[in-house]
Amino acid sequence: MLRDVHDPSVRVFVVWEPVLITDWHAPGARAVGRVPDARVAQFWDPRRSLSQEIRRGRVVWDYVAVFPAGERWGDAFPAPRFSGAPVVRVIDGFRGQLITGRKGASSGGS
Amino acid sequence: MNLKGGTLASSAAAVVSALAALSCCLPLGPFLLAATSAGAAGVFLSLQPYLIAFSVLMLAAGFVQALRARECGRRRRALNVTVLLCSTALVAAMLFGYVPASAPAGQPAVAALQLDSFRQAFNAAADRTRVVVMLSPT
Repeated sequence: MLRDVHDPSVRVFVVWEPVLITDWHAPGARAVGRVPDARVAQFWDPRRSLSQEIRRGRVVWDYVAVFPAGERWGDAFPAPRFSGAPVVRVIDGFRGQLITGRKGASSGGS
Repeated sequence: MNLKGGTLASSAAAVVSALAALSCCLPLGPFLLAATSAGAAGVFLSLQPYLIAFSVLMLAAGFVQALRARECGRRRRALNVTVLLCSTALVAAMLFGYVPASAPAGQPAVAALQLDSFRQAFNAAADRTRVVVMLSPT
């Protein structure tokens, strides 16, 4: 996912949350090990509080969002420059955002 | 009527004493509570810490009860050990599942997300491009 993104200043927050019936436990070594990049910080969100913050009443998952420098999280979760779900469908657009920094329309999150 | 009532009472007493004898040798109650609590912890994730703590407590109570039941026969002792091992395995699985795995080298430890501290971390990196990815562990 981040292999082609060489910008060392990018900060990535990976949030694991229970969605499927098999998600009764925190992410294991296999899941956490999928994102070995040093620019990443990983979190476990058993209450799906971030999902509720982003979109109340709906579970946001398999989702990626890019926020430009300068964007701050104040009273409400900020609008991303790019977002989309599922990740596999928007991965090219996501990489494009980080590699070229081009501005583009967000695709709908789940 | 009195005879019928007496029969019922003696039957009930027999059932109660049989259950009492069984529970003396077999820590069924603590086991069931520990197993149920551990199972519920997998469903009610917001209550997980409390349910896991309760199941550990019940497991300890089961062990104490099993150790105190010295007059049990060999067969029942074997059953005790089996039952307690099963419940211990279930609770241990929940305990290990509750703790996230270690982060890969170079990353901070995987943290339980607290919205305020997450917001602070997000804003602390406001001078750079940030990416938020939300995934399910399985």
